[in-house]
Formats: sequence, C-alpha cells, structure tokens
Amino acid sequence: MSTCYRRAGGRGVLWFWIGLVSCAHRPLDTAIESPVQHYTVEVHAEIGPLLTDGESLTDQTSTELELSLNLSVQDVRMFRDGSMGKRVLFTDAELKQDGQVTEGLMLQGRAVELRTFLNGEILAIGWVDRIAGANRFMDVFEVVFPAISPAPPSVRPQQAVKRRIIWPFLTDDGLRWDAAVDAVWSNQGAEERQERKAWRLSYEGPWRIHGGRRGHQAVIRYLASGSAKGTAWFDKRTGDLIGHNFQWGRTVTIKGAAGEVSQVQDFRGTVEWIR
Amino acid sequence: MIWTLLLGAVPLDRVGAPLKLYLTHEDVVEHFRSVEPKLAECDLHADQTLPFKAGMFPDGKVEVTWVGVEPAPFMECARRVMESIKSPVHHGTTVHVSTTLYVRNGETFVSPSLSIDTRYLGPLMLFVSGDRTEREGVMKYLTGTPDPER
Repeated sequence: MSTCYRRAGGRGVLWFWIGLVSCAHRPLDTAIESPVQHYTVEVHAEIGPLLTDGESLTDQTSTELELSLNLSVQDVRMFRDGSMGKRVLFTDAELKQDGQVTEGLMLQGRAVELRTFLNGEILAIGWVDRIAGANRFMDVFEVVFPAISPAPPSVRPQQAVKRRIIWPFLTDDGLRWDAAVDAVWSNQGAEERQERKAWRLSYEGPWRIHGGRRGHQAVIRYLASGSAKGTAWFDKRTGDLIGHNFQWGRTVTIKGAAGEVSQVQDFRGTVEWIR
Repeated sequence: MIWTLLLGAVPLDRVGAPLKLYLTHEDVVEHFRSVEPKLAECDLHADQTLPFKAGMFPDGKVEVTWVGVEPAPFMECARRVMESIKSPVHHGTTVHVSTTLYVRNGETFVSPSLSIDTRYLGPLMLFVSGDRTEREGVMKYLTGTPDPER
C-alpha cells in the first residue's frame, strides 16, 4: 500500500514538473534584424462606374488609375509558428486619375505589417485599415500585397503545380474578407533577371473574395470574382522576389441591407526589386 | 490538474500584439500617464481643471493648446513640460487628442477618458472618387444609414 502511494506520488510530482516546464514563458515573437528590400510597384487600373441594377449610382464614370509606390520591406520579427513579421513602409506614393495626380493621397510614410510564412504565404496584414478607404485606397489596390508576396509552390522546370494565393483583409473592428486565387503554377526555367540568376514562374487561376461585417447597425457582404495571371521571378539562390508582372481583374459586389453596388476593376502591374 | 496546467501554458493571444506602427487609445493614455509625474515641477498649490487639446505628431513632437481657460503661470509651465516630453514615433497623421488636466491636492492627473479625433473612412473595396461626401452617399445607399462602418 505504502509503495503504491509512493509510486503514485512520484508520478504526480513528475507530471507537476512537466506541467510547470510547459508553463515556462515563451514569447510569441522574437525581434530580428534583416536587410531592407526596396521595391517599386506600378499598377494601372481600369475602374468601371458604380452600378446598381445596371444603372450608374453616381456621376462617376469609367476611370483609369495609375498607382506608383516605393516600398521598403524588412523582416522585423519571427513568430513561434515560424512565420515572419515584415514591416512594409510606403516610402513614396502617387496616384493619378485619368492622367491627373490626385491631391491628398495619404499613403506616404504609412506602414503595415505583413505576416507571412517563409514561402511568402500571407497570414495577416496588420494595420491594413490605416491604408484603406478614401485617400488611401489600398482596399481597392490590395492586389499589391500578393504581388509583393506571391507564395509559389516548389515546382520543377516545365511542370505545373496547384497552389492557392490567399490573403485575408481584416480590420480591428470586425470587417473581414478573404481573397483566394486557385492558381496553377508552372516553372518556365531559369534566366538572368537584374543580374541575378532567377527562376521564372507563371501562374493563372480564378480569383474569388468573400467576407463581410456584421455590425450593430447593418450587415454588409463583400463579394468579388474574376481571374488572375502573372509571371514572377525569384532569386535562384535565396528565393527572394526579384520581379513580378501581373494582370488581375475582378467584379466587386457589395451587398448592404438597403442596396447593392458593383464595380468592375482590372489591374495590370509590375513589381521590381531595386536593392 | 495536469490538464489545467497544460491549458495554462496555451497562449491566450496566439496572434501576437500588433507592431507599434500607429498610436492607439491605450498608447495615448500611457503617454499622458508618463507625463503626470513630470508636472510636479510646476506650482501645484491650487486645484485646477484645465481642458486642453494635444497634437501628437508622427515624429514624436507634442503641441498643447488650452481650451476655454484664461492663461495663468501654471498653465505655461504645464504646457512647456507636456511639450518637452516626446510621444511615441508613429506612421499615421498627427493624432489630435482632447482631454482635461486636473490638479487636486498637489497631485496632477490627465483624464483617462480622453477622446481622439478620428477620420474614419474605412475599407469599401469599391473605388469611389472624391472624399467623404461621395463615399458616404454610397454607404447610405448600401445600408440606409450614413456610415455604419464608423
């Protein structure tokens, strides 16, 4: 009996220590320092009028937008799950509408945190609401995020592999939509790009978005569908993105309690690594 | 008990705190909490209730303006002290704060229920040319209310 008691007590102490060790403090993330990568991003967008039941809701007609960005991207922390936190700083930003520079664009100097897995897959875009909405417009130009972090699969030359390009658009007050491109990737082989040996990978697939907000005042649903295709170059040695040409298009439909508005948006753009 | 201990080891916040890129309400409150002890160098003999507005610039500069009160030596001292302490550097536009400084029994404190002027024109996914008016028109059409995203 006493032996039995001692054994049970021994196991208890052992489990107690296991429990205690598992409670040891482990930070959720670790700060890191890495070189800053600089990119230029050019996006040409053809934006349709705001339509409701086939009729224009406002005086806004079809318009052409040119968004020019200089981005500084730096890994700043690593999370416990192995994902990276990258600070994306908008060092320069300009938007032209029908050839005219728009006044009051509030992107320059702003920053977000792009949390990605090591292959570039986007898990979260921290502070995205600070670069969205009027005079910021990155909710319209969100294609920039997968454009700088496209997350290709491992694919042999002349082969094709399916891999989704996904990202969530989530604000801290409960608005969320999820975007996904069911991309088929193919490896076009290695070539010189910006004096670096690079893999040239192409992709193509349908693009779908769904999400919404269920607030205390009204429900809004965000829906979009379209297609995406592009070619991206990745450094053969490091896997870093060197360049990306893309052509993505979608029809956006926003459904509210009182009405529905849709808009056609076509984006054609380039990402170039500078240094 | 073992399961309780193991559950205790699971982090409550699996996402991690956001990077300090912008000032939140908590950041602003914390800044003024750190300012309060420094105000001891001013003359705190008389009880006072002093509403003020503060601008917290991206580079950390702070500007203080008293609201609806007659100038007094204490206010000049308090303004100088509050403007001498840099707020956290951030990536947003200047944050405009409205609050009140209290002096009671030789102690100072800034009201914790401060308000921050917000200009919320949140995500819509649609490109709406123009500024607030055009955008609010679309939101009103969608929801029947001016701006439910506020």
